[in-house]
Amino acid sequence: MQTGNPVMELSDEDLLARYIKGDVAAFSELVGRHRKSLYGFIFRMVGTAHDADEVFQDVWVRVIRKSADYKTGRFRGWVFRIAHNLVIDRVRGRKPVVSLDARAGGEDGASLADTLPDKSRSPADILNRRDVVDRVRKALGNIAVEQKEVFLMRTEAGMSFKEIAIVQKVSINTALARMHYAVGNLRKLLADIEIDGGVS
Amino acid sequence: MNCTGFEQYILRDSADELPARQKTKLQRHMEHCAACRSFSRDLTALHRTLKVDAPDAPDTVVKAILMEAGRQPIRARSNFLRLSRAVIALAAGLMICVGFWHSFRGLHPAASRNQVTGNSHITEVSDILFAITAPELWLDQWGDSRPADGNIEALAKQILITQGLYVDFQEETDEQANSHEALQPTTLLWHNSPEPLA
Repeated sequence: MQTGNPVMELSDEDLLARYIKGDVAAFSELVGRHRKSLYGFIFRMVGTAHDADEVFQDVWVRVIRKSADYKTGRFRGWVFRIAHNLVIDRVRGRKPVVSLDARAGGEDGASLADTLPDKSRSPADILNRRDVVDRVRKALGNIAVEQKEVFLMRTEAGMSFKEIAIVQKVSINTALARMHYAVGNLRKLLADIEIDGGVS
Repeated sequence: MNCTGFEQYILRDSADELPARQKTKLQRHMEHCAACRSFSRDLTALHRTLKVDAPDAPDTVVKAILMEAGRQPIRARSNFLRLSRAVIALAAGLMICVGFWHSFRGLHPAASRNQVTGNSHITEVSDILFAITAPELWLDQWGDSRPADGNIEALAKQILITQGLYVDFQEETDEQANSHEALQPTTLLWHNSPEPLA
């Protein structure tokens, strides 16, 4: 019978407690557990790998420095709250970049990309997954930061609406409404592409 | 309920946060609503698309984080902080206790007799407050016999005046009133009476 790695069976909170007592391996396990979801969230929020690397590192350094002050609650919620603060600082401190998908300003919601002739794109290209992912990423850049954040916490990190509400310090209904707006806006922005039988 | 409400149900269902009764209601609605089925399909598609191409943190960054984790003396620092906080809390508590003890020990009869004549401001104030608010108890502590006329307040006042802690401005003489100019501001209310009235 396989007993498994005892560290892997511990909860996030127990791992942090072990790290505070000096067990660096417990911290390594903690980073490993949240590495992909946290980095994915940060990367999609800040938009560049360089910024994502910096913010991701800052988040964990803060976790290290504040770990002794951590008391109760879900560890994931705490880490994402730190990430939320750093990401918001980073996003708000940045000069706005007008993307090709940014709305041209018309009431009809037409984007700049829609108004430009797209001679390079063939139907085969549109079906290319990387291209689709890129379109989704760009579309995410054109929705409100709060909506984008809820959407990414839900899809990238698999967080519940209750957890998201705690991180954003809003009610569950507000978190739900933001998600609803996010999906609605993404559907509009991606209305012209096909994603795995979805948005069409 | 309109489709907007059911779309919120779809979102909650995707997070496994939809109660069973509402889930049944949603399933019934989706059987005949193409718009909600489309919303649900799009949500799943968006989710799947982002998952397929999910970025990951570079190993070099993770390595740097773990090196930082190994460098931080978490235990020593946290113990030091906890110890510092405990010492500060203990010191503050001790100061408060000493303050209270010093303030209220004047209420003890034996201590009062010494402190009253020792001009301890805190003791005087607490003693006078006690005498004014509960003259009967205060007199009991001093061991004085009850007055024949039953006027306990008058007797308490008289004892205070005798001890030089209280001046009755209504009964003072012109000579006493004139002497106020020479008094120190801090002892204006509680200055010594020129002559005990007992």
